[in-house]
Amino acid sequence: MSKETFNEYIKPFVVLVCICLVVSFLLAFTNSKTAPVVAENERIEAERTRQAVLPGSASFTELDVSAIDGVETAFRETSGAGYVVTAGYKGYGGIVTVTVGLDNDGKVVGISANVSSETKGIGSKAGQESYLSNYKDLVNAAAAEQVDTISNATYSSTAVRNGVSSILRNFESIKGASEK
Amino acid sequence: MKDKMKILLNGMFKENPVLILALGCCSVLAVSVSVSGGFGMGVALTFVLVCSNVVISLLRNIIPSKVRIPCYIVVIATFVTLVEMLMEAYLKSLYDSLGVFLSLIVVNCIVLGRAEMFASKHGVVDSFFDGLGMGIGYTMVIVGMSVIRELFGSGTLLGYRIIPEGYQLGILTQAPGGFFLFGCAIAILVAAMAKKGKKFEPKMGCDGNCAACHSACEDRKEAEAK
Repeated sequence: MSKETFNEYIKPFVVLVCICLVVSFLLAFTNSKTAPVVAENERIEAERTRQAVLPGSASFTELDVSAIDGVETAFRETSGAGYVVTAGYKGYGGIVTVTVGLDNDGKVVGISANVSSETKGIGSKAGQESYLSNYKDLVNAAAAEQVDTISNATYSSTAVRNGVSSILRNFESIKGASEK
Repeated sequence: MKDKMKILLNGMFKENPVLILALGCCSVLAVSVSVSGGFGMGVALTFVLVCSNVVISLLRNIIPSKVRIPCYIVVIATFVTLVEMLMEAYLKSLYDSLGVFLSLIVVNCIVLGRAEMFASKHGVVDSFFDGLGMGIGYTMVIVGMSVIRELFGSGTLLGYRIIPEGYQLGILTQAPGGFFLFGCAIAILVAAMAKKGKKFEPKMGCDGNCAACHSACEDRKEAEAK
């Protein structure tokens, strides 16, 4: 093999592969350092959301809701103030996750919705307090299904409605769920 | 030291990447609605620019010219991903406010343009100062624009309310206001330089603006070698 062939065909290939290998290791190393911090941040963020939807709550115990359809996670407030349940339904751009705080009788005391996948300014209205407050104080799922959707943002607001009604429908079985 | 200072100032004024070379305008227009976001973006870009310039300058004799663009992109993407990971872990609020524009530094013309135009032809120290100067030049523009846009558009500065509610120029926070301000900024800098008699004379056909240049860089390299 002549030197020219090497420089022309082999060297570019070898150099690029070497660079890619080195940076892969570098990135893998950084990721191994930052991934736990990111996970911890997310956990704190989730805890904060839970405390926000259930006034007066401090710490939570996770419940095993894998057998219940239409509910993602459920937490019982350790001192017995109530429950915080999340459910995700398909909106317009992705999954809209609603987090609902319920007292022991299954009444909605607080609600928040993650609408980051929805269109800004249109679908995101479904995550605003002005819309979510329609669901406050509701107890049964049928009443939640009567709440109007937002015109222009039907997909996003329907996802919120589906989430809330599914949580209310399953409240009794969530209450009976064992600890995780 | 004097020539290093010259390289540094070159990026800040004479060849300001945003206002003179008109590179990286997309992120400037999009992120300059809040001062904290603009500053964060400027620092992130400066970091990527300095690191990629240094590494590319170190590797400039190893990288074969046939695969230089993929090599540059890999190096740049690495630093962007590093910044992204670190920011997500330690500066979550800034990470959220920059959104997709942080990842888009990979394809920011300034970074690739400086790699191709400067770092691949100059030594490590010079490339470091070029990256720093260009980064500071970018940060100055984005912070300057975001101060005006946030103050008069939203009535706040770094989140603190300065102008009472109801007296804002809402258009400044939107795209047309950004373009308008961008045009004014270019005009002011060019006018100031013309007054000082420092007219910007492009040295090459494309004057480093790889986005607007369609000529093959191979030819230019050969011409320079002669």
